[in-house]
Formats: sequence, structure tokens, C-alpha cells
Amino acid sequence: MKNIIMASSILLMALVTACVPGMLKQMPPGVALLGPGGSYVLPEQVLPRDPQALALRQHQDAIRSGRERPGCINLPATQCIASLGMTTFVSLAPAWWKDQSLLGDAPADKDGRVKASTNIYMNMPVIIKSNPDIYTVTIQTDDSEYRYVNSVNIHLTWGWLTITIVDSIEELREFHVFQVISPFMTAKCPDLTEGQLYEFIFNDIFRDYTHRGYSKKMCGVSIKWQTDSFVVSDEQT
Amino acid sequence: MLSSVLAGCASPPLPPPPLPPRADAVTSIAPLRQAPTGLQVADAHQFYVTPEAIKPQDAQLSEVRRHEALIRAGQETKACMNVPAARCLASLATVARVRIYSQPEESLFGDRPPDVTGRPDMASRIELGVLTNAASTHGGPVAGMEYGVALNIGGDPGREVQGVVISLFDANIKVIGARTEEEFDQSQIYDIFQIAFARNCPDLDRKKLYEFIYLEVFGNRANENVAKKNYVRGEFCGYRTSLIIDSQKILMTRHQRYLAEKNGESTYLNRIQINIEKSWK
Repeated sequence: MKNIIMASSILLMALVTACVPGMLKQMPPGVALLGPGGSYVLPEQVLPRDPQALALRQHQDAIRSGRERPGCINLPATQCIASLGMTTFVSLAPAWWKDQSLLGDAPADKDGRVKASTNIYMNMPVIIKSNPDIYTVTIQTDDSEYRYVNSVNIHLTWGWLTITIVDSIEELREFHVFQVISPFMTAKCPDLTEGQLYEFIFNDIFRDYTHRGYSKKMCGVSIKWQTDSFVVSDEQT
Repeated sequence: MLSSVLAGCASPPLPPPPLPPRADAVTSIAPLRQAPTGLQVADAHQFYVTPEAIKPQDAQLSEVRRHEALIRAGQETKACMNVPAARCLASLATVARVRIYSQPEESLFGDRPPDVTGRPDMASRIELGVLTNAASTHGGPVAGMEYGVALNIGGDPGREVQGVVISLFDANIKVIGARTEEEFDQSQIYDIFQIAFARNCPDLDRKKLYEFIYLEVFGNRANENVAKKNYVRGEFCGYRTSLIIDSQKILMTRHQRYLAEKNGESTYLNRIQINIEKSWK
């Protein structure tokens, strides 16, 4: 799996840099799948009848029109992906050309059984200090029909070490953590500002040496820094 | 809109920003999370499937289904100790996801066909993985928690449950470290104990159970030498209970052990289990 992530991240890097020569541009918010040759395709183009892709579409419409609150933990995985896709560009990598579903389930075997994929990998390319970087987001779900989300792991591919040693909130601002983490919070704190979140991450997560590795609660979700990535869950430890 | 951005590299027209959630916005348009319930058996490919797919003609399975229907209809109460094993399994399966680890050639409880001399090979213990549903302790959506439950059963035709052994897998730190009612609620331990003690204490008080676990099961160890007090006895709801804490080395190759120690991973398996048995009286 790690190889696949690495390969896809290199493809994305190439795309982000090659798209507009001489100028790096942030991708617009949305959800796409990896297509042939490192291109992006839309879910409805390649998975027109996939129930999970249809559910994603419904959640996107509901969140965009304000009928549904964005969120992830203990909610369906499709709602989580739709919420993340509102603030940032998200690319999923199911092998749809091998008839995998949106969340990566292989087609049913001869007895009609489907093995649920309970780890969903996503890439979010961002530009950090004019360098391309990728947030690798792993959603861990249960195996029920709706794939309710247990926890989310957010890892910054190249800059994960740099982000831990930032000296100020202004420096942290350049890593665009807000657009990746705020979809988890907005259900309970609709008025959450960028400043509040960065203050929380800087003071309570990176600068709290006595409680390193323990999760801190904000807006009803627990966030902790574990080795090299943020882990978002509803655990208490 | 996004497709036009992806196709060429023209100046990207931004999608409209999402509207803020309305006052009547729902948490999710999908149903709220509830951990699934019911029996499951692992097949040869480690898929968890319904037992009917693997043991369609099993008499013990149809007995469990009969009890499940009776419990759902309200004609039978949930119980585990001193009742037939089928009723205990049915009771657990109505509040949690229950995984049975019997082999395909065995019956549901793990009985094997008679040996060459014609003697039956009856299982004396049913090992289960129980994922709790948290329906009794949590109002909102929550993930389930896995416990290991073993039923000690007799050889009589009804296969009466003689003892229940509850192993804390996911919950060990939560239960040992719990001090307040909310912390005990998070461990979801009530879901299992409620059924285990249901015969003698049909309306088991949640707080009373937590006090028993806090004061007697783990509390006795507080001022003692921990190494010598790995077996703690108590009594609750007319049943004898005991706690066993044990840690043993995990079987690993030399290289695996080297890597595990280097990475700071545990090379010991901690076994924390609470046994419920018949009282002496």
C-alpha cells in the first residue's frame, strides 16, 4: 500500500507542478479520482452507477445547500469525504478500472460476498511556502454498510517534521492545516476561525510537552499528534 | 466545473462555496451510527458471514435463532448464567455483534463428530468475540468496543452455561483507569455484565456494577503487592467472581523480537479477565 501511496503522490506532484509552468496553483476544492496517467477524473465519469459514488453526490449536495452539517467521526465515510471536499481538493485512489467501488471494495466474489475495505486513503495536494506537498488522509471505518468513521489519520508527506518545529502561529498558518482539520470541527463549532484552530494546535498540541501524545478536545473531537501525523477521533486518551 | 479545470490548465473557475448549515440542518442524511448486532462466523477467507452461509443445517444454530425470536417477541428474558448456551448466545446477539470461532466441520458450539470409538467430542468452552453496541450507555452515535467472552458449558443436552469469562481487549486501560461514571460508560462494560448477571439481577443498576468493578475487582489491588495479587476474588449478584491478571511473552522469532524491542513495541501479551462462576453457597 505504501508503494501505491508513494507512486500516486509522485504523480500528483508532477501534475501540480507541471500544470501551470512557472507558477504553482492550489487546486480548487472538490473530489476526484486518480485516472490513467496520473490525470484526475470525476467519480460520476467512471463510476456512474456506484451506490457509494451516488451517496457521495447526495452528501455533497446536502452540505452545499446547508441541509446537512459537515463532519466525519461516527458519520458515514462518504459524508466525511464530501465534507473534506468542500474546503480542499481531495483525490481518492480506488482501482475503478478493476471494478472497485468508490471506497475501494473489490467486486463481489462468486458467493456474492463483498469484503469491506475499512481503510480509505486520500490525497490532498497543497502548496506550502510555494512548494507542492500532499496531505495523506487515511479514514478508518467499520465494516457496516455506511462505513461509519472510527478515526482519521492526517499525515503531511514531506513537511511533517517541519510542522512540528514551527516557532509561531504565523508560521503554522502557511501549512494550510485549517482546510484539512476544520471539516471535523464545524458540526459543533460553526463559527470556528482560523486563528482559534491554530492557537489550539500550537499551544495545546505542539507546545504542551507535559501531555505529549495525549489527545486534546476541541469542538467535540479529540485531536492528538502521534509520531508523524494528526489523529482525529472521539477517544478520550 | 471541476472537469474543465482538470482537462486544461486554464484559470480555474472556483465552485460556489458551501452555504453555512441552516438552523434545521441534520447531522447526517444517512441513519445515525449504531454498531451492528447479530451472530457472525468467520469463513475460510476470514470473511465474517452469517452462520447460515456456513452451517445451514445446524441444530444448535436453529435453537439460537428460536431463542432470538422469543427474546425479540418479549416472551423470554435475556440471560447467560445457568441457562442453555443457545439462550445466552441469543441474548448477546440481540445487543452486540457476536463472532464465533468454530471451525467449518464443527457444530456452532464447537462439537466435533464422534471419534473412532464412538465417543462424542463435546466442546466445553465457546470462545466469542463480542463487539458491544453501546445502546444502553450512550445516547448518541458511538463506535463499539471489542471484548473476548468465553462461555464454559456443560455436557448436558441443554448445554447449560456454568461460567462466563470476560477478557478486556480494547477496554483494558479504560476499565482499569476508570474513576468516574462517564469513564466507565465509555468502556461499554455494562452491556456484557448486564446479560451475564441477568438471571439473578434482572434490573442491574449501572452504578452498582461500576462500584463493584472499581472497589472490589480492581480496587483490592490498590494497596497490595501487585505481583502477588493477580487473583482477586469477590462476589456479586449471587455469583462468585474472580479477576486474573497475567502477562506472558508473545511467541516471536529472534528477529521479530529484536525489531519489536527496537521500535518500543510490546513483546508481552497482557491477559486481564474477569471470571463469573457459580457461588459456593
